[in-house]
Amino acid sequence: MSEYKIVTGNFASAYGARLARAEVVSAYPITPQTEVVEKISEFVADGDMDAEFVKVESEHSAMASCIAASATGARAYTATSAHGLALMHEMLMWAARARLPIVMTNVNRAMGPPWSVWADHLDTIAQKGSGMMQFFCENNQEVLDSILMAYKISEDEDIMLPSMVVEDAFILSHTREPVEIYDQELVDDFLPPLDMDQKVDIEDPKGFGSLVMPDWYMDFAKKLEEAMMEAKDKVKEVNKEFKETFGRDPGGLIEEYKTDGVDVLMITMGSISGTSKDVIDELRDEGHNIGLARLRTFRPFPKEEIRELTKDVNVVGILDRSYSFGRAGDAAREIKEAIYGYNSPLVKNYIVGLGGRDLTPEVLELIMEDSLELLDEDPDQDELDPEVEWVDLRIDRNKWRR
Amino acid sequence: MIEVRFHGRGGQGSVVASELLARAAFEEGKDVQAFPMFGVERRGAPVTAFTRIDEKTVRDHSKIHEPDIVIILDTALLDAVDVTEGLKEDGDVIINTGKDPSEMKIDIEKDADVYTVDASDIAIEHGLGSEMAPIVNTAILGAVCKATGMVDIDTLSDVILKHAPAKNEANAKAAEQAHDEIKGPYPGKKLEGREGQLSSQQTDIPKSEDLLCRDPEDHTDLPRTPIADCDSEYLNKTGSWRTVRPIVNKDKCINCGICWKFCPDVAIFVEEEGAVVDFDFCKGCGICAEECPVDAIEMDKEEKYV
Ligand code: SF4
Ligand code: SF4
Repeated sequence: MSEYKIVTGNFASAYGARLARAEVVSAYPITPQTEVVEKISEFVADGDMDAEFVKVESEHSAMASCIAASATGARAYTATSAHGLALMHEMLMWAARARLPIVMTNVNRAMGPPWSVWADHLDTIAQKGSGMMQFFCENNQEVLDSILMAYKISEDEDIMLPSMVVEDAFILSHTREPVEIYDQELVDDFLPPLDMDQKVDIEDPKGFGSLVMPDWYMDFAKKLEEAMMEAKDKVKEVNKEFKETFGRDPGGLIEEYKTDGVDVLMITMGSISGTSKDVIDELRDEGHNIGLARLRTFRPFPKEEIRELTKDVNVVGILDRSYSFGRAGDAAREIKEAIYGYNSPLVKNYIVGLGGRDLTPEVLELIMEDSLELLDEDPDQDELDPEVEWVDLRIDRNKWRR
Repeated sequence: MIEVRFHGRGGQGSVVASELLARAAFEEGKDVQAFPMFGVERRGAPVTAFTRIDEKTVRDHSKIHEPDIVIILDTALLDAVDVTEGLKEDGDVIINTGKDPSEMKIDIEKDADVYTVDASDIAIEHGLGSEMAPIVNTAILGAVCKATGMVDIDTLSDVILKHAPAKNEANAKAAEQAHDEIKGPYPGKKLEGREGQLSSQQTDIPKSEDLLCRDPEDHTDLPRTPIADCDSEYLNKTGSWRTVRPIVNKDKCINCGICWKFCPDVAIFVEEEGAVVDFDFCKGCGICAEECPVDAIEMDKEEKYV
């Protein structure tokens, strides 16, 4: 029987791994991820989860042991955050190129210094070229749902790529919300045991991930990219199946919230999206023609959906909770690139909430009003690409307070 | 939407209170959220926790800045923390104290209401925690039910019976008793200035502004990366985290300095007469006692010394 528990995002991750029947869990604790692995070790110790719990000395080893486990055909899971993910970097690349369907949670957190344990997407975004799929979650239910879906997508024989489910530090990881813990049988039907065609088998020894000459490497890379592209349809398909099975729609590649025929489209990722939807409702009540799209899947990037969504829109406001130094926010950059040659709305990039800075409805409303004001601008070439705006810096706080 | 803020000390159960309240409201068909202050607090330090309750889906993931209800589990915090910060004009304040609401010096608008309940006494009566450190969270929630009508006391009792971490029946009884014994409402009043209220706040501790900027008013004056003129721990008196304290047996101490070398907070020093602990910063981790080669340090219960 399914039941509702009031749990943190971290516990939602742990329950996700348990419902998915992960067989090997290997992780190293780091704030704010620690409770994920604490809870799983409890499940394993109490006999509620039939998994091998591997204690390791670093995040690099955590992913290395997941890779080894996954290569033998076991369903593997790990979780980390920020500096832990950065230390895992080499192994993330390996997992993707070895085409292993490992699923992990990254509790995104700012990179130091200044030392910080709070929400910031740069740790995840910095891994965008690793070959891992990335799913950003709005709330704790979606964290659990995304883990189940991520395994199904990752393990599809046409995909075979690792996935990262992303929850915002503290805002989700330490906040309790009602989460439906599904009936195990229902999950088992949705997510059958992993059955890999090629795996490490002592009865049938083979070499894996071996050296290739320059005249081969590129073709393997292209194959990985084809799997990524294939994954876009797979995400939609699995999302549909998930909805039919569990009665919930996590939003596929990109969630559309009141986007029909809008003049101004805001685009967000992660936990600020819920607060933003409340603000969208208020502004619409006041008669503004504004809607919101939530980028759920950053890899693969849903460029066709973005093109479609921005077709008749005049202004696009993009909120990035990370910054790629020397350029701009990554969501904004990629969205602009996706619409190049198709649509030409005015696109403004807002940098928000780095290092956990709070995004109140008040600040979000001021951001959206700023985008609405751009509607009146005469769109000559310069104004199509306004300066990136860093929101709510201490130096101009008054601008972001009523 | 109703937004609630709890003020307590680590160990009193503020975070559990925020969760139990959320759970009770959820049982009554509301959507809920419960979260602690996103800091790096430890046991003994002031703890803030929050609950959001709404008829609709709670989508807002921002912090709570303007609570409808403030619940104070420990009156000592009235001096240390600005407990009514941001309270809505017609909000409620519920305080754990034996005093009458009319005696409370709380700086709030006249449309706000003050309630009191002796949750500590009730908790002790029901054997919750110790005389020195009663666990008051369930008792105060019973009073909250009565004062605000947010959730029904029967729902709360059921939730406590099912979900309290321990002593479920005693906890449920404590909630029911507090529900019956709460005093108030008493109308709020504005106090002259805030000095009186925040008198004992440690004013000798520099603010982050003073440390980070040469001119605290001018935020353009930031250094390239944070560099403090003093130990960063100076901002954070980790001594308040301690539940056990190291006691040095000076007769055994051989002045080897190993404790100093291992202490993560540089809170133990070797002087001529032996090792000396700085209790403003010693967080009671016990590493010094573990590492001392001649077992000259023993860890003892903190409550014996306060
Ligand atoms: S218990 Fe010992 S090691 Fe730990 S903080 Fe105190 S003095 Fe330092
Ligand atoms: S480690 Fe023990 S013996 Fe050495 S200085 Fe510290 S208290 Fe004294």
